Order: sequence, then C-alpha cells, then structure tokens
Amino acid sequence: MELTSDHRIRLIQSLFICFLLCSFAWGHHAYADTFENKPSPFRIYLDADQTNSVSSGKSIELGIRAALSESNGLLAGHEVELVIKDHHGSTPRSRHHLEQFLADPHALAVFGGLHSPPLIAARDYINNNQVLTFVPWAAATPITRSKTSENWIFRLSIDDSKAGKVIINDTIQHSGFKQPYLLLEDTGWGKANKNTMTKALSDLGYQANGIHFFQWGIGQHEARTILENAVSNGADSFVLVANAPEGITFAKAMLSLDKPRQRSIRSHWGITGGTFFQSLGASAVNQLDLRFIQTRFSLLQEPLSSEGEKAMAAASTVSNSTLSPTDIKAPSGFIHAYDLTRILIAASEQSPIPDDPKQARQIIKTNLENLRKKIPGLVKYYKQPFSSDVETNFDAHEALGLDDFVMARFDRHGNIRLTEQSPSNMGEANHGN
Amino acid sequence: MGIKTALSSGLHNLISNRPPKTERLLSLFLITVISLMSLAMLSVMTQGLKSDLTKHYLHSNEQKSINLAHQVDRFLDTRRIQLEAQTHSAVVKQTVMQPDSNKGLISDYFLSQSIIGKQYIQQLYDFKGEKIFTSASIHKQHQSFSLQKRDDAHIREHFNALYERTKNFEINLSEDLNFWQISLPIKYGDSIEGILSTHIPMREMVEALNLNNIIDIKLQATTSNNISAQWGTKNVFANTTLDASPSGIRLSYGIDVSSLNQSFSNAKERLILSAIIIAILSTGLAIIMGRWFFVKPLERLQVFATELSEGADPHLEKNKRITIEVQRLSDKITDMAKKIHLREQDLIKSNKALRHNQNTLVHSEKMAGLGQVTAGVAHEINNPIGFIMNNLTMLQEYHDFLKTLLSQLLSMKEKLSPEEQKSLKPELDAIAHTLTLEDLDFVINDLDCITSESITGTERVKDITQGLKGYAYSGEQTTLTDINECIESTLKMVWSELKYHCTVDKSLAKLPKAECMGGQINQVFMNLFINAAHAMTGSNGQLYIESKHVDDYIQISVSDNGCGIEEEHLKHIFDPFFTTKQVGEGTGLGMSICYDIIKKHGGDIALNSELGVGTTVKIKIPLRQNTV
Repeated sequence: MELTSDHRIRLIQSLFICFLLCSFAWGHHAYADTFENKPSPFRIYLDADQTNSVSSGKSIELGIRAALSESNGLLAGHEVELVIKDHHGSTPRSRHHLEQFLADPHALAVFGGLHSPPLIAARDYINNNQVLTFVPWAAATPITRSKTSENWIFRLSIDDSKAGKVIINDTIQHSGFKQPYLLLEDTGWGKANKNTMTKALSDLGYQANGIHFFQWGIGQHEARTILENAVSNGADSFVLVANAPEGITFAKAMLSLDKPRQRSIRSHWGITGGTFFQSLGASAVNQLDLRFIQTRFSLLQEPLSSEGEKAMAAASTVSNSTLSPTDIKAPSGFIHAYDLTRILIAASEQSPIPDDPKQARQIIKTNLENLRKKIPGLVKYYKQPFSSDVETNFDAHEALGLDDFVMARFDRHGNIRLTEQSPSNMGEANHGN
Repeated sequence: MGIKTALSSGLHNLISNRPPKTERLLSLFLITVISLMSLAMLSVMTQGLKSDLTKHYLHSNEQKSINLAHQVDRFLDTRRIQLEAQTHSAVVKQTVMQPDSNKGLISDYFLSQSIIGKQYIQQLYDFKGEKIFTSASIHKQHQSFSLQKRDDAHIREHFNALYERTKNFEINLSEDLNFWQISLPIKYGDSIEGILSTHIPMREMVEALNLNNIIDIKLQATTSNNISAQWGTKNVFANTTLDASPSGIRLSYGIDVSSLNQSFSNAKERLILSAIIIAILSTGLAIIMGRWFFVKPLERLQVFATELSEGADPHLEKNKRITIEVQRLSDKITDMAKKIHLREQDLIKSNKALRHNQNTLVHSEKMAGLGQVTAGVAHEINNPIGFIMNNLTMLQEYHDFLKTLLSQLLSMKEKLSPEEQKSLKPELDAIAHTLTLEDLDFVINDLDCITSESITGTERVKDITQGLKGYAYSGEQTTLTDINECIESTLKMVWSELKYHCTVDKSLAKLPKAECMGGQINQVFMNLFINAAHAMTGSNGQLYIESKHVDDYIQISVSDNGCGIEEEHLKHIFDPFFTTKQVGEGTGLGMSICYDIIKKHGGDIALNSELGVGTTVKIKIPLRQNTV
C-alpha cells in the first residue's frame, strides 16, 4: 500500500508519543526505586514439625502471625516474611533449614518447634553462627544453656529443668502415686527429663519404679510389653516424656491392658503437639487418667483475659475467619509464639535496627537481653524476660519460671483444660528464673 | 569290501551287458536304496534333530536362566524384606531423626542384627542423602564400596527415587561389582527421613547360587544405576529380559548356542554313525531276507525251470520263507509246468500221430492217386472187358455151335462105312490121334464151363471196374440217389469179402431218392460192411442191413453180431487213424472218412457196440441238402 505524506506524519507522531510514554514509565519506576528506598523485608523462619506434630507447628505459626499482625506485619519498619520450614522432628532436616537460613540475606530470626532434639543438636551451631532463635515449645533443658558465652536461643516455654519437677510433684503430691515408672523417649530431651525427674523424686524421698528409654516409632506391641512389665513390677503410675506419635502408641498400649492393670499417666506436654486426641478419640482418651504439663494460661479459661481476647482477635484476623479458643488445637504453641513474637517486636522497637539482618540480629539480641519495656503477654506480663548473664544465670534465656507451669487434661472435646486456673493478677509475674 | 565287491561286480555286469545276478543286483539295489534312504532320513532327522535339539536346548536353558534369575531375584528380595523390617525399627527411625544422639544405640542395634545369619555393612543416610552412620567400622570390614566415582558421602541424587517415593526400595551394584546395595527408605510418620543402605557382598550371592559354574547361559543383572553384573558364558548377549522382578533389578539372560552347535555336532555324528550301522544292518538284513524271500525261491524256480526244460517232471518244494507273490508265482509255475508236461505228452502223442498221419497222408495220396489210376485203369479195363464179355458171349454161342457141330461130326464118323472109314483113314486116324490127346467130352464140357466162368468173371471184372469208377470218382456233385441201390451195389462190391464171413439179411424199405453224392455214400457203406465183415470172424456171422424213411431223413442201420468194440475205443472210433487192427491191415481212416462224409451231408452217424455181442451203426441222411 502506498503511504501518503499525511499518513507518514501521523505514524511518526504516534511513534513519538509511544516513545514519550515509555520513557515516562521507565523514569517513574527508576525514580520510585531510587527515592522511595523501601527497606528489604526481614524473613523469620519457622522451623517446626509440620508433619508429625502438625498441630504444634500450625499453632506456633498462628501465634507469630497474630502477634505480627498487631504491628501491621512490620518489624522495625521492615516487612516480615514468615518462611515455613517443616523439619518433621528430624535433626538433619532442621540443620538443613538452619543452613538455608544462614544462606538467606534477608533472614532475621528462627522460631523453633515442638521437638527438642533438633535444637539440642543444633544449639552450638546456632550459637556459633549467631542465629537469633526463639523457642516457643521445645522444653529440653540444654537448649538455652550454651557452653560458651554465645547464647542466641531464647525460650518462652516449659523448661525441663522445671517441668520434671512440676510433673513429679503432680504425680506424687497431687495424685498420691508412690511407684511412678518413667517412660522417656530415647533422645536428649528424654535424658534431660530423666535427670530432673529422678532428682525431683529423690527430693520428695521417692525413686522411680523403673525407667525405660524408648525409640521414636516404637510399636504398640513393644510398648504394651514395657507397660506390662512395669505394672507387674509394681508401677502404680507412668510418667511419660514423649511426643504425640509415641504418646498415642503408649496410650493405645495402656488401653489394651486389662482394666485393673491400667495405670494413670502423667505426661510431658509433647503429646499435645500432634493429633493425640484426634487419633485416639474422645472415649479412649477419657478412659485414661491422663494429665500433662502446660503453661499457666488457657484460652479456654473464663473470663478470658484482655490479652487473650486481643490475641484471639489477631488470630482471627490473620486466619481470615473468626476463631474460637477451641479452634486452636495446640494452644501452647500459639500462646508461647504469640508472647515471644510480642517480645521480639518489643526488642526490635527498643533501639534502631539496621537494615542488614545480620546486624539487626545482634542488636535485637542485645535488646532482648536488656528489655526495658514491660510486655503484656498471655501467660504473664513480661518484665525483662531474658538477661545477658548466661554464664552465671541458668535461666537467663528462659522467659517462664516454675510458677508458670500447671498440669492440664483433655476435655471431652479434646480441648486442653488446666487443672488450676491461672492467677488473675498477671501484672507482675517473675521473669522465670 | 563285500559291498564294494558286490557293487563293482554289479556295475561290471551292467556295463558288460551280461544280465547281473539277482543277488548282486538286489544287493546293489538295496545298498543304493538304503543309502539314499539313509541319506534322506539322515537329512530329515538332522533337520528334525537340530530343530528339536535347539528347541529343547533353548527351552531348558531358558528355564535354567529364568530359575537362576528368580534365585538372584529371591536372594536379593529376601534380604530386602528383612532389611525393610529394620527400617521399621524405632532405633533406626530415631537415628535418622536424631543421628548424633543415637550413634551408640544404632551401633549396638546393627551389631545385634543379622540378615539370614549374616551381618552386612549397613549405612544410614539422612533426608539429604548424607551419610550419618556406617556399620563398616563396627564390623571391622573395610571393603571399598562406592556407588559412584565421587565420594558417596552425599548421594541424594542416587536415592532420589526413594525420597520422591517413586520407588519403595533401590537395589544397586557397586562399580567394582563387589557389592549389592539394597537401599530402603526410613519413614517416620508419613515422611521419608532417611535411607538404610546395606551392602551385600557379591561373593556371597555367587557362592550361594553357584553363579560361577553357570554354563551355556549368560545371566545379567542390571540395576537402575545402569551397572550390570554378568555370570556364565561371556560371548553372548543377554538380550532376553525377564518381566518385572520383585527385587526391581533388570534381569536378562542370553543363551550360548555354541555349545548347542557342539552338542548338535556330536549328536549328528552319533546319528550318522547310527544311520550307517542301521544302513549296514538293514542292508545285510535286506540282503539276507532278499536272498531268503526272493533269490532262493528264484533260484529254485530256475532249477525247476531248468529241470522242466530238460523234460523232467520236477517237483517244486514248498518253502515257508517266501512271499505270497513268490508263492503264487511258484504255484503258477508249478501249475504251468504241469500243463506244459501234459501238453508235452499230448505233443508227443500228436507228434506220433502226426508222423503216422503223415505216412497215412502219403498213403492216402498214394491211394487217391491209386484211385484215380484205378479209375483210369478201370475205365481202360472196362472197354476190353466189354468186348471180352461180348466175345465170351459170342464164344459161348460159338461153343454151342461147335459142340453141336462136333457131335454131328462124331456121330457121322460112327455112321461112316468101313470104306469110308478106309478112305478117310488118315483123317480118321488124325482125328483119333487128336482125340487121344484130350478127353473131348471133358474138353467140350469144360469149355462150356470155362466160357461160362469167363463170362461170370468178366462180369465181375466189369462190376468191379464199375465200382472202382464210382468209388474213385471225386468232385462228385449231389444227385438224387437211391440209397437202397447204393446198398446193393456196395454189397456186390464187397460180396467177395462178406461171403466168407457172414450172411446178409436186408430189410430195405421203399425209399425216396435222396440228394447226396452216391459214390461217397457207397464208400460209407463199403467201410461199414467191410468193418462188419472183419468183426465177424466166426461162422455164424450175420449182417443185417435196414433202411427206412423217417421224416426228412433216410435212416440206415448196419448191425453185425461180431466181436464188438471195447468201450475205451468207442470214443476214439471216429478219430482219424484210429485202428485196432494190425499195422498194415487198416489205415484207421475208414470210420473217420464215414464220419466226415455223413457230416458233410448234414447227416448223423452213431455207433453202438457191445463187446462180444455186436455193433450197430446208425446213419441218418437228410433227403434234401441245404448246402453241400
């Protein structure tokens, strides 16, 4: 087609306008990048068991998100991306995630999960690599106790150095058992509990009827044999240190015994991290005399504290649905993670935080150990929950103390009910030494 | 040597155009046929054998291969199943979850474990494929093992299929082929947290399954890392792959056919040897049987035929060892020999008869010539006899005249006076003298007699010549003939014969004339009359001749009361040259001629005789001849 001179002029005009538009768009983009200077996001890793103790993982995630939502998802002005890692309870997986964390230039902190072993195994690695780590669930004593002055792990959870005592006290003093048999998983966590529990027993003038370390994935038959032997040897109760999978196995094994031979179980809280109630069913669980340790707060307590209401509201917000306390199946994770995140937020707000996450970690750690601000939480009102005197203070990185722990049970619906109400005055709780 | 001789001899016979001996021919034939058949059979059997042998060989080796492959498969799978149980063990699970805190436990665990009575090097890998434990040190075994050239500390990719759950286990081979590695995922909950990898020494499998002693086949196991272990024969491809095996390794096999070829070659040699032996045996047997069943019977037949040809009456012995065909041939030949013998006898007789006939014919010819001559002579005699008869009649008349004249002359002498007597004395004396020479009366009477007798004799001569003329006349035409006349004339001809032997009685009815050749009918009668006369040797011979007219026939019966004819001779009575007479007395043709003549006339002749009583010959002659 032959182009007329008019057409040519119009075509050139059109091309020019297009060029101008493109130039403007590019320039605006460059300008925005240059002058707005939006800080790069911080990434918080949640390295928990999302498979075998899925409830714990989910509730911790919810707790973090709920707390973050209260600061609009920002931490020291940085957007926070929550990176979910599922370690299945496996130490190598957890280590792998830590490696990923260290390779991530945006990574700021790690939240651990239910299992202690990965954290125990990784403790030195964490401290050596200055990984800012928060422990909302894992209870093993060594986790927060570094061998060196470097201690980057902060716990707001049950500490086995105290839990064993609480559980044993409940078994002997509250329930009146005299021949408790210790069923401990054959991990660092189990071994730590052995020490605290036997010590607690001897403090009370008792000794264990027997101690058995069992492996993960133990079969029901083997579990039954252990129980049978223990009962035959006069065990009047069992103290269980296990996670949900093995807890389910032992519960089933117990229920398979003749009724007169069935014994009460006092358990660590590992069993609440998975699908213990769902797997066994209400009737089976109700047949058992089962009590387990929890922190002294329950979302089910009435009336719910204002902080509890706030937390539930935040949880509902991040879940995009209205949640009731019974919807949170492993409430410990939620409660501790929520409180810990609040503490983290407070620490990040105490002084300016550099954009470089690695530098930020250092500042935040220092702030955590020197928090000036009192922080309201679900379990209690935190006043300087952590301290830097790790070499002298055994509980320097423990946010909760002995008084923060109570025994609990499953109700008919699988909700966790504390056997004692939390103290109504939460204002001045101790910082957990 | 024997075969060669037979062959060369047979060939020589064939070449030399001399008929070969049956036995040699048979041998040659049998050797050729059996050799050809053996070759053909050998060829077919070789093909069949090859096919069968190949089929069998392939089948059995296929089975062997499959069995062996299954054993290999089972070997690995059994261990896999046991190892799988280990992956369910809590210690193992916990170790992959918490490796550092369980080193002691897992060492104890693997020390306590045995897989079918053996302890193996076992290794645990974490979820990343990083080795977290090996039992090599606790077993104090330091065999080198590597799945790949680089360090196997991290072999995640190697276990990818297990981690990604596309496989439930992995069985691999080390590059140096010294180990099998059975790798199984270790699950905790629903996740795969690690791998249990166990090294099974190849040596153990080789010893357990005796894999070093595989022959004829090649077994190949290829693992998913494409490393192949091979056992058995080297020089074949393991190109047949078995269906999916429980152990998950690819098992394939190949069958070495070189040994098949060797065994086929051996089998072929044995077959050829067997075929040769069978051929020799069957040839020998066939020759013996051929000799028994063919040659010997033929030889016997030959001897028999020879004897037969020499005129003997040989006897062919029955032999059990002959075939039904040869038996039939023998029977036929025997039968034929009998017939030949009979025919020969007949021929001898015929020859004798022929010779006799020849004489007779010569004689007949002579006789025929004689007849013609006789007829001619009779004709010639007839004329002089005619005038002799006339002369004799005239002589008789003249005799009477002379007798009368003589008596008148003699009576005149008596009546002469003495003077007269005197005057006529010389004449009288001469007369007297003449009269002394002969008895005048006697002479006169005798002359009369002589004349009469001469006339009678001459008449007889005339009759005879007449008869001869009739008898000898040939080419005779049929004429209306009075049979009774024929009888009469013949009786006349033979009267001289008859009159010494018999009396003749006749009962001749009045007959119509019949169409016949009278001369020939005369001849019939003459023969009959003469035969009758000869039969009647005694003094009371009676010949009875009867003729009568019955319907269209004239029936003549000639009976005598002679000696009769023996019964055995009766059937030959019309045969030519049959005679019971002494040689020279009769030709034996008489009755035969009679028969021929009567038959020629369309009539019939029958003879009825009783020994010592007599013989009756009945003749029927048709009145009319249809064809003559």
